[in-house]
Amino acid sequence: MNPHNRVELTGVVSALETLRYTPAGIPIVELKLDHESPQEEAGKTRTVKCEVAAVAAGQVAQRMVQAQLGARIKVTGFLAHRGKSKVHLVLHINEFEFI
Amino acid sequence: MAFFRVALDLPLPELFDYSAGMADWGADGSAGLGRRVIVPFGRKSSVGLVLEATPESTFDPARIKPVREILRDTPPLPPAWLELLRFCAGYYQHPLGAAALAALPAKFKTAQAFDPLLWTRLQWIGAAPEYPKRERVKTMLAATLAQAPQFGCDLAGASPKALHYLAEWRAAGLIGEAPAPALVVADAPQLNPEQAAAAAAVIAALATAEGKQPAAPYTPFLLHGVTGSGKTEVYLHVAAQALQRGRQALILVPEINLTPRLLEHFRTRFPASRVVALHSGLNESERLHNWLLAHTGGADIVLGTRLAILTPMPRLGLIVVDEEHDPSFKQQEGMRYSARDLAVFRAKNEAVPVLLGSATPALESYAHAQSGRYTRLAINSRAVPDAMLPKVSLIDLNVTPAENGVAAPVWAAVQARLERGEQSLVFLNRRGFAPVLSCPACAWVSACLRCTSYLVLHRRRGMQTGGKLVCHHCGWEEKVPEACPTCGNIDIRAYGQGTQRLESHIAEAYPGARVLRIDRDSTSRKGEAEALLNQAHGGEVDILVGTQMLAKGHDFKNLTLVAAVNVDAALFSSDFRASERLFAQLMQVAGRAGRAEKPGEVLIQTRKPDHPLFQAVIAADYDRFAKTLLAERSAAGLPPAAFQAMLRVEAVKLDTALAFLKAAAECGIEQGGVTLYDPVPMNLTRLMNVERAQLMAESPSRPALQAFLSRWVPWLYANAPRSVRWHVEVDPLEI
Repeated sequence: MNPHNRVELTGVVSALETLRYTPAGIPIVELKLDHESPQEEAGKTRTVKCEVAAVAAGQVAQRMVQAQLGARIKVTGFLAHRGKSKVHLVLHINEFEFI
Repeated sequence: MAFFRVALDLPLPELFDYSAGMADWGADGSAGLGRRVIVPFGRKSSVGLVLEATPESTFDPARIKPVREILRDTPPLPPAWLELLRFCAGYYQHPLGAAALAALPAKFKTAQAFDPLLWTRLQWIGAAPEYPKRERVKTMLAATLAQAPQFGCDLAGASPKALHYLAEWRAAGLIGEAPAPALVVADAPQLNPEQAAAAAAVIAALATAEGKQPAAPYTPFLLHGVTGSGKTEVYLHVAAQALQRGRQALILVPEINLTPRLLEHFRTRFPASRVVALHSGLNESERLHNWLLAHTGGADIVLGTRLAILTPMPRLGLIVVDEEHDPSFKQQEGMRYSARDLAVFRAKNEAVPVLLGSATPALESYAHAQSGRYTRLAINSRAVPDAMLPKVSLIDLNVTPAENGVAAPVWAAVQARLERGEQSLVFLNRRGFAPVLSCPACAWVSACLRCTSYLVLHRRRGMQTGGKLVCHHCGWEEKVPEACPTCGNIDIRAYGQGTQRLESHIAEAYPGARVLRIDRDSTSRKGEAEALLNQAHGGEVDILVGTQMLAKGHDFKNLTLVAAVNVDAALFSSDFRASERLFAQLMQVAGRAGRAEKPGEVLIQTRKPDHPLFQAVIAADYDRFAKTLLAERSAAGLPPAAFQAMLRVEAVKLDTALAFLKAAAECGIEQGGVTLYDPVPMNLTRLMNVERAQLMAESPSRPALQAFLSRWVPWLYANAPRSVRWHVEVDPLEI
C-alpha cells in the first residue's frame, strides 16, 4: 500500500506572517488556522478545537497573503515536522479555498 | 670558454648552460650578467635571463649549444637586483631561475626588442613642425610634445605608428633627449613636533647613506604612529629629501586599492617628478612601461604592492613600507616571500634607509624595535590639531541581543550620525549574503563538492531575491537550489550574515539614507573600487558597509562612527596569530573614525566583553597588548621567539600526502636544532579536489633552520613521488 499523508481541514486564519522568500526566490508564508468542529469518537459526538500551524509556498502563498485575518478557508495538504525536532507538526497547504 | 647560466621560463628548477663568445665574457664574466638572451631549447628558441657566468661548465662542452643572441636593448638587470633575487631564492628555498623570471613583467620575457625611445624623455629641439590636420597622429604627438617633454612610453599608446614617427623625428634630429626636470615640491603642511622628529631621523640616515658602501651596518626605522597620526606626511617629507638627492623612492602598500589616493598625494606633492604604479591590476603594457621607467631610472617614485619590491631601480635611495604589519605583503603562491622582510634586506644590501610604518606593527617588527635592531620612531597623537583618538565601547550581545545582526545601541548611533549629517561605517569581514545554506528538515548544508568548505550565498548584483552559491576557495559557482538536494524541502534557509545581507537590513532600517557597500564583490570590475571610494570620500554616502577593504589607510574626513558587528570568530581560531590580527584589524578600522575635527566613536559587538584583547582595544594600548603577546609567544616558543618553515604537500589522496610528509620527517637528515612536528591535514584539507597536508619545521635559531632547509629541500626534490606536489614556505603567516 502506498503511504498516505493527506489532510483536509477548514478553519479561520488566526495569524498570518508576512510573505518571505527562500534563497532561490520561492515565496513562503506561515499562518495559523483555528479549527472547530463536531467529531464522532467511540460512538459519542464531541466538539474538537485545535490551532494548527500551517505553511503555504509558491502561488498558493501569494494567494494566501491576500487573506484577511478571520477569513474562513478550507485547505488540503500534508503534515511534516517543523525542522529536525520531532515535537511540532506543520500542515503544508497544497490547495485552499475561501468558504 | 665562457658559459652563461640562463634562467628559462619553464617549470624546471635548474639553470641552463650555454656557451658565449669571449667578447660577451668581458673582463670578469660580468658583461652578459642580467641580460636577456635568445637561446636554442629543444627544437625551438626561447628567451632567457643570464644569471651566472662561469669559465667552466659541469656539462660536456661538446653538447653545450651557443647563445643565439644577446639582447642589448635595455640596460642589464643590475648586480644589486641579482643579489636580491639570489638572496630571495636562497632564503625562501625557491629555484633561482623561477624566482628571477617571476619578478619580471610578462612582456619582458618575450623575444620582443624594446625601443630605447620608450624610456627616453623627449622634447622638440627646435619649434614643433606643423602637420596637416589629416595626419592626425603626428599632429597630436607634436602638440603633446610641444606642451612638455614626454617619455616615449607615454606617447606610444596613442597609435601603433607613434613610436615609428618618434624614431623618424629622432633620426632627423627634430627631437632629442630632455634633461630631467628640477624637483618641484608643492606646499606641504607643517609637521608637528613628533612627525618632524621622525622625518628628521630618516633624513639624517639618507644623508649618511650617501657614499656608504653596501652592507655597511644599518638600522631600519619602525614608524609607530597611531591611526590618523599623519604617517603619509612623514613619507612625503622623507621622499622629498631622497628626490632632492637625485635618488628614487620605493613605496610599498598592502593593497591595490590604496594606490590611487597615495599616487595622487605623491603626484600633487612632486608635480615635476615621475611617479609610477606597479601592481597586478595594471595591464601588461602599463606594467611593462612603468617597470622599464623604474629600471632605467626615469621614474622617481615607484609606488606599488608587494611585487614592486623586486623592481630594479638604479638610483634607489629610500624604501617605505606602509602598513608593514599587513599579511598582504606575504606572497601566497610561487615564491612565498615577504615583501616587508625583503625590503629590509634590500635596504641593507643597497645601503639605503628603510622606513616601516604602522599603527599596529607586526610583533616581529615590534620585537626588533625592543631589541634595538630597528629604531622606533613614535607618533602618539593625531596629526589634525584637536583630533582625538576615538572612544571605543563594547556592546555585550549577551545583554543587548542583536536584531538582524545589529544591536539597538548601534542602530541608535547610526541614526544620530544620519541626523547630524556625518558618515558611519559598519564593519563586517564576511563577503556575500549568508555564509551557508542549510535545510532545517534534514540538516543538509551547502558544502563545496571540491573543497572542505561551504558554499556562500551571494545575491546577484542589484537583485533582491535569488542568487548563486559560491565557493570562496575554488571559485565554484552554482544556482541556488530550488529545494533541498537531499530531501526536497523547498524551505531551505540562509544562515548567518554577510555584507550583502547587512547592507539590505541597513537600507531597510534607514529609508532614504545613502548606503554603500564596499567589498571585493562590489569592486570586482576595473576602476570600480576607485569610483566607489571616491563616492565615499566625496561625502556622497551616509552609511558605509564593508569588509577589511575599508579598514586600512583610508582617510574619510566626515566619518565619526565605526561599528564592528561580528568579530568574535577570531577569538576562537586555532592560529596563534589570530588575536594579533584581530587586534590590528580593530585598531585599524577604529582608526577610520574621527580623523578630522569631529570626535569619533567606535562600537564593537561581542559575546566576550571581558576578553583582554577588547580591553586593550578600548585602552588603545598597543604596547601593553604587544608586550603581553610577546611574553606569551616567548613562553610557548612561537615566533618571533622561534622561526618556522612549513612543508605543504598536495595529492589526490590525503594518505599519499601524509605518507610523503612522514617520509620527509623521517628522512634521517641531520636536524641540527630544528624540531619537526607531526604531519597534519591542513585546516582547509581539500581544495579543488586536491587533498593537502603540512609539516612544520621550527627552530629557535634562524640560521639553524636555514641550514636544515638547505639540506632538506634537495632531499625533497630527489624523493618526492610524482603523485604529489609540494612547496616549502619559510616564515609562514598562516598555520
